[in-house]
Amino acid sequence: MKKLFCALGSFLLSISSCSKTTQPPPAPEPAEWLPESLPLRADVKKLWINVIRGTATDDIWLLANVNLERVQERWVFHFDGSQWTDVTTQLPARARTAVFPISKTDVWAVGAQGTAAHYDGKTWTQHQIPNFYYDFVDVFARGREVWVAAAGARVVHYDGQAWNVLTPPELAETSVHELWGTAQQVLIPVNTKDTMKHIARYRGGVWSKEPVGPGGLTLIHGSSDTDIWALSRQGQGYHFDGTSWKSFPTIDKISLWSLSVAGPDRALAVGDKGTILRWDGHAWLRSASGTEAQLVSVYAPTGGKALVGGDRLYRQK
Amino acid sequence: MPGPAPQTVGPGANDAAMLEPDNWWSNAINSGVGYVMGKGGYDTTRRGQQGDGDATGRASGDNSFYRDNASWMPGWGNTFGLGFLDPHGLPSGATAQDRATNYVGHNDPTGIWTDVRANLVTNETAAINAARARGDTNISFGDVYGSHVSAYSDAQAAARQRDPSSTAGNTFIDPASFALAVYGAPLMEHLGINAGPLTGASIDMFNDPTDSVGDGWAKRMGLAAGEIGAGAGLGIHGLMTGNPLEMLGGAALAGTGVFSGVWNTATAIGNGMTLSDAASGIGNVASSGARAVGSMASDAWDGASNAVSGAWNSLWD
Repeated sequence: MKKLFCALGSFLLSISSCSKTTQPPPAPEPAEWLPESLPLRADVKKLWINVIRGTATDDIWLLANVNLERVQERWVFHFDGSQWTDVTTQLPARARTAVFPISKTDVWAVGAQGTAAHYDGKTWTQHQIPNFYYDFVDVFARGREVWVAAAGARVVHYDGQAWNVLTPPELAETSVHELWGTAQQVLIPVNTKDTMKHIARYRGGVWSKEPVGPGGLTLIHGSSDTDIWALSRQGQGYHFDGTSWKSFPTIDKISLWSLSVAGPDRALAVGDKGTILRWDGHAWLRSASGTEAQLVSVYAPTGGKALVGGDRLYRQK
Repeated sequence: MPGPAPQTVGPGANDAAMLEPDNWWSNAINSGVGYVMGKGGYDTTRRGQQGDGDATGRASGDNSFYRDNASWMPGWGNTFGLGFLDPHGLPSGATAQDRATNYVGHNDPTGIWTDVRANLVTNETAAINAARARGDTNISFGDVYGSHVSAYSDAQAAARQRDPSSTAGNTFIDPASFALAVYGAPLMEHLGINAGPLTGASIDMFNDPTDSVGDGWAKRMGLAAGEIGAGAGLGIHGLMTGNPLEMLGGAALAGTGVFSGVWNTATAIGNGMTLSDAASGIGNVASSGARAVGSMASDAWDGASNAVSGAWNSLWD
């Protein structure tokens, strides 16, 4: 009887899958990545690791959605070079969507309903924009200055004294979900209705906007002012060398969800169907992940083994 | 499988009053909802807890907008003068939207749910401010419906601008079905049943903004067909037994189904649905349904086999 149910299910599946696109070729073996354990409780049903960021191999932050029996929670882990520690309850509950560590004693985290938090190496201090119901989704920080993506055509800025919502015309008609910067500048992907997309650049107190595309810009990261990547969800990669943006194709038919740049000859991007792409200084190449699961986070430390996350954590061999 | 509601009480003025019911029958029903939806790959747990889990410090993700602004929402009292039907002594639209926002969009890699939430806050805050300026004490059903239609549309447009490969285009559900959600679903809480998992499940099933226009249309046509079939059955039974209430109820239910089907098809075509999209949607929905049914049948078979095996072993021993 069980076989009958399975056969019936397979038959219906085969009928309905006619219109689907061709599957990409399987990743080459053997896997270049190994699963790594986190200190999880036994009652955890599902894990979704969507943020991994750090300053070095001994200072890595990991944020995950954790499904329990009744509720989905947001947990935070820290790696000190030898072990992962669950530090969830140390952070304010509403400041666990994204994190940006500047150093081991200078970390910013942001989250739900206009909440941010700063870590000085000992304690977390909460910052709150009153009556602000918009969720903070990404953060970049330098010194006492903090830049936050809050969805919509706006960016939230903290100058060390006060929080302000900025709506420069360069961000019009886009919804800001990602941003990144250096000591000199902040870059924000701008995706309007136009086929050609843009990067909004804040430098020297002035906003500007430059065309980068086509293809949509969903991921941005870099290692310096002369090594910046902006990737589309599928297909296109654009590299800024300090002078101009140049196009390097990534991968078609597979969505990429996260990007981490360690240097001019080392960057990693991860996506659906266990896809890990590795930039070797010349082209984006496949790296065998050993999984077919969706991967949604990556961190590539300079000179260290990278980490990728999805429904579990993997470390580069 | 998720069942009970979380029971942490937040600091908001209406948080205690609007806490989800927690009892054996509510939990049993929602365990069933969670099991069935889980087979379809959906999540019916709560996103965080009220006050973001102040008791445990772990559960961030709660959106308090509809509890904080509960009195401004439409409900039985301020729409029909039937305030005794509003659960928790607050307009039913507050309960409906609180349960909706806190039980859907758990993992959001595309950012669509984040944009939907941000757009809803923008739109409904504007509606509240306009109502206040007019001297009104609440916003209307039309305000809430219009806010949702544009929140979905704008979030999907932003997603497609970010990612040209995105197919997000599911139009918002028809006003009759939305009225059932705003006025009907919260009635469950009078019976001590947490409406959250079922509200979230129905949105995930029939109103998911990440769906393509064809997939969304196919799902809702299935719902409309079910309403027409159930209405016809009830009406015929009423005719046979001479029960006018059944006849009236059957006609109303079948009429809702017809209205939903026509509205759904018209708005989907207006949103660019082609015959190919519709066929693809039917195929995808059939595929997902077959997979879910096959999995449930397999579970049932395994359960029965284990029971028989256990009984046999007990007898044999």
